[in-house]
Amino acid sequence: MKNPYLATPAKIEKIIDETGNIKTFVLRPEEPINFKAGEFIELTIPGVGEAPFTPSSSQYETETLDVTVMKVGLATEKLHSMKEGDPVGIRGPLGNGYPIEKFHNKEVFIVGGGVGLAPLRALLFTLLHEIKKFKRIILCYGSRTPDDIVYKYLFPDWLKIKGLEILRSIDKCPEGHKWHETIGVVTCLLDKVKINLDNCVSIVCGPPIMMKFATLKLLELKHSPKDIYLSMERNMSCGIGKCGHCAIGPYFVCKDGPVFTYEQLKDQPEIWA
Amino acid sequence: MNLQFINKEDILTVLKILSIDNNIYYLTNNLSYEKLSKDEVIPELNIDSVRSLVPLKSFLLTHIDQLKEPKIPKKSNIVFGAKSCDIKARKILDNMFLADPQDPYYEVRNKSTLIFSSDCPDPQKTCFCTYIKGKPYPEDGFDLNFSPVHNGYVVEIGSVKGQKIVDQVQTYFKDTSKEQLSGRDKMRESAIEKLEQINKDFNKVKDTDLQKLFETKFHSDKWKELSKTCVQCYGCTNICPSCYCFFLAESNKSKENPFEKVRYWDSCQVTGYGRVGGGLNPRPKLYERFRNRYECKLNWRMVNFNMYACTGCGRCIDVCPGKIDIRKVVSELI
Repeated sequence: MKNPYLATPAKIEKIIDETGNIKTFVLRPEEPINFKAGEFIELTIPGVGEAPFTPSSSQYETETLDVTVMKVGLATEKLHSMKEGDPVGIRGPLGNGYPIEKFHNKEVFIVGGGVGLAPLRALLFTLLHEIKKFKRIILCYGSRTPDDIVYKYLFPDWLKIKGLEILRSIDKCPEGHKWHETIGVVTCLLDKVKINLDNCVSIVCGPPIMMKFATLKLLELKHSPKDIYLSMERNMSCGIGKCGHCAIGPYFVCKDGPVFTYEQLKDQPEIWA
Repeated sequence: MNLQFINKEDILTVLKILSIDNNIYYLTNNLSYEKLSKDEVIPELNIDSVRSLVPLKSFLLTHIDQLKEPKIPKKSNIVFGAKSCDIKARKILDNMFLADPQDPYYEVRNKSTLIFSSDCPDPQKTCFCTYIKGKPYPEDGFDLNFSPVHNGYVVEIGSVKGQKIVDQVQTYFKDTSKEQLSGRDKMRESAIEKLEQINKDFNKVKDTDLQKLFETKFHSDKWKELSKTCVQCYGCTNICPSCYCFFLAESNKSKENPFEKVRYWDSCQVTGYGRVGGGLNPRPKLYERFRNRYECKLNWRMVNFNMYACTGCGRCIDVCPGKIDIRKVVSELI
């Protein structure tokens, strides 16, 4: 049996600047990491440590995988200073991703905020791969300013896809910027979409405060708790449900999640932290 | 039930024979485990005392662990004098570390550890195993269990490995007599009575379904008051026989394997324990972390494994500089 603490060596193949503090790293592992959208990896940054990321690339691309990373702490700061060709390590895939089969023949309502679009991009790629299996795909994406939007270069193509509807908002528009879409927090987009509540799933990923208010808004709009899927962020360290750090009540986010339904978590304390 | 009798004076001889193929760690008068050395004449053996100061988990999950390739040790460890509270706590560790995917380091140590447990005839003032679904003697989870009776021990064989060991040194074992068995029963009853005496102020704890209690007490306003004397030394979690949390880090020691890791015991009482890179911390306040230990042990592990992750060993009470007593905390919340 493979030692679950042993990382697969990988190289940074390409670095894409997304925003002032977000970069996408294209990683080439020595052996393919066959992940499903929503599952995560532990990325070893040599000499610094590991951090958990959900790949943002398509699960159908097996030679390389992308992680989109915001510079927030020690590990991500070091990662941001690294160059193409530098070595990293990957453990995974870990945890449970999105149960795509359960989304078949339904309206799929995706709510993302900021760098939270990273796991959702992997999800989108999977959905678009078999787009006919879904009634509708709606993406509501909020970011702070137009500059903070990740994957800007992908939106023109996405907007052309039949069966995919996209609504975007920004919290505020700095002077000198042009913005013709919605201004306000991402939850204000949720009112604009008419969803068939009897046949939909909603998926939320973003900063904790946004996840909280987006979930509360969905509940207010009468979405069923069992059809709301959340990608939880916790301090996943071992990634295999042993070390304890990512616990939410009796759950270990790394092993039982990171994708949970709100139904699973609603009675647990500290879910929004 | 497979029971045998061994004379007190034969124990050392048996241990010496077994030490050819095994490392023997025996409980001593000062409540530590000493390794039996070849030239030792009379070790300070005392398996009739209460549990060791350092818990059994130290043999299975060392406090610093270089995660090189796991190797099966040449010799097994025999831990002689482990108590019922530690054996129960090991089940929590087993549930955590042997669940898929198995922790290869724990698995290797677990396989090569034999438990020669012993009854706890004389519980001390912080012991409360019978108040939390335990007994002062083990009923399973051991290879051999030793119960002190007149002039020797009634030995219960608890596993195939235990049987093999008895077969190996069969000449030192005899059939048990009726007197010896009734002696064992009496000694056990007396230990339970002593625990009743020690804990007479905490009868509420014994009669309460603690999981149900803690399901409803998460938002109690008493937690702040109850945690007031906690100085965040992490002694309670380090010394706990069932606390399993660890901190995983890069070892930065191996040139051949730049991804080699090291792990240390960690504690949910540490401020940054749950903090993520972006700064979010699920339990930033002391009372929240204090509460987490109780909810983890008495509620959530019951949900996962149908057992409490507290076995009443009382070590956290002994070690606490803030004089926090888990029995008092639970009583206050009832």
